[in-house]
Amino acid sequence: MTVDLEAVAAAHSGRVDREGLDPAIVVPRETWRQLAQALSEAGVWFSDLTCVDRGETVEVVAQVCASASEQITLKTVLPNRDLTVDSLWPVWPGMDWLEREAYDMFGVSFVGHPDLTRILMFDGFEGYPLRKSFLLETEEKAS
Amino acid sequence: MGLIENAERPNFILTTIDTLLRWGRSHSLWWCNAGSACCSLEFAAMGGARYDMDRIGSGLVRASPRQSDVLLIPGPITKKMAPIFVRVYNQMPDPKWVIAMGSCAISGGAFRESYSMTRGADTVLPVDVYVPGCPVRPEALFYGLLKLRARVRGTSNIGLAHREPIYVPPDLPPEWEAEVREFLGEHEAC
Repeated sequence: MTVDLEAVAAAHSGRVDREGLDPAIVVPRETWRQLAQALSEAGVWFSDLTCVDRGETVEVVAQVCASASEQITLKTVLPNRDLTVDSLWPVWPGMDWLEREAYDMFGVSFVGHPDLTRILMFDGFEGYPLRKSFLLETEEKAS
Repeated sequence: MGLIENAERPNFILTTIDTLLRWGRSHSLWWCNAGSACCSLEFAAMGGARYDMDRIGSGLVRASPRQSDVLLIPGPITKKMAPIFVRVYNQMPDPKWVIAMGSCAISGGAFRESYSMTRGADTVLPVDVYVPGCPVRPEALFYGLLKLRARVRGTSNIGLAHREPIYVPPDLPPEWEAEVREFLGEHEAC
């Protein structure tokens, strides 16, 4: 099975980015879940979800597989001041823990997730440790 | 046991029983292994034929903290696990001792700067013996155990509240290896 990346991207007002190892479909956050839904109906399954902190923005990155040899990256870019995006849990229930981890480490809120709580850090931990703006204890003392 | 530990002044009966108890305890230091990381494998090597901690009565690693005397911390303590370590420590009956094994348990080691780690076991629990190494050699842990054993045997349990920690030197002078080897009855090079 081969996914027509250009057509899928165009249908979800996105674009195709071929700079990385795998081709990436970059969409605005409004069509994030629709894109996943369309791919899911075409028989694509997901393998991973994480985030990248770019300073001003945070990218949500999902890896999906159309076949064993065809990996596609899905990306959406969120501004720092409003880190909310639709959850992919209704499309792929296995996203549950991955989105909880992304929430725990980066503070991205996934709208529609059934139980968006911290998964690795304990309750009551302050901040999101993998964000560039997070200060370690030594850095707090130095600043 | 509380009669002796809580007595502030020794007298004839207490000191006699105390000597007997010290002798017994030093020959039966049972472990509670809170295997939090890879130093636990070096500890496992101490149970094998070469080091064989059974010979000094410390071979029993109990599954329950309620049956053990020495809490071994063979690795870093995450902030999330710290309350659980405290709970295990509180479940152990007095008198109890804590061994911090390896760089991570002493100071945080490679994970010292991490957001999720405590900086050493002594930020969480009162540590009696510090054994350095990354990982700790079984000889070093054995040395720490021998020192703890001497401490248990030699120190009166009357008024046990205050204890100074034992520091095993990080760069090992030849004497201590000879000491361990002599104890183990082993003449070949380790």
